[in-house]
Amino acid sequence: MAYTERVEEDAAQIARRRAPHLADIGKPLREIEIRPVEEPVPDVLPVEEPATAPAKPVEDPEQVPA
Amino acid sequence: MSDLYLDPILGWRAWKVVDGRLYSTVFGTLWPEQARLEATCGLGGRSSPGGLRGVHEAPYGACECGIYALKSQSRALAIARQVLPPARAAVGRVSLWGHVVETECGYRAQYAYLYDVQLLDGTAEESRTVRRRYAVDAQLFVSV
Repeated sequence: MAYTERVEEDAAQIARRRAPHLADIGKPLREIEIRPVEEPVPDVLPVEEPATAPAKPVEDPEQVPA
Repeated sequence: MSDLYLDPILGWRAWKVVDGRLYSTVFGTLWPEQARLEATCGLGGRSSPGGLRGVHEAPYGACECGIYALKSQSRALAIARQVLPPARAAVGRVSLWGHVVETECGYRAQYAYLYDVQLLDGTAEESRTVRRRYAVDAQLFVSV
């Protein structure tokens, strides 16, 4: 085996030893292409959920200032 | 011929967390902030059919390259718990798109970005830091 092939083989074995997750995803089933119209990479922070529900607005007309 | 879709797939991952930044648990790849992660083949294409040499685009069906994600949260949690301690760990969902190889229990994808993150052993401040860096929902993990 040529030196470059040995190096590549070693790299592959090291990668497998370092990657026990390879066994976790199992065998390939199919290949698909996903081309979203817009890439799902946000550039603004998501709106944080309030810790508690906002107070219900007052609906009694007598309490609303004229 | 691959099937064509418009909506990204969601998959589960585990990360190491250092200073509010996420790193892959196996190769230590830093997940970029507010930019997609793109897969490259670290094996130099040696797994290509016919002994083809040279780097191919990732993921390649006959190779093992690509950005990995799992179909189940429990498997991602098991990986995250392997990295604890000393590193902090997180699990979460990622959007996957581009060329994607679907496998029995997960995916290997060309592009990925975080969808949401849960810190296993972090503080509220750390989760806010992750949220600010990556602009996605980040919370402390709550077991159900």
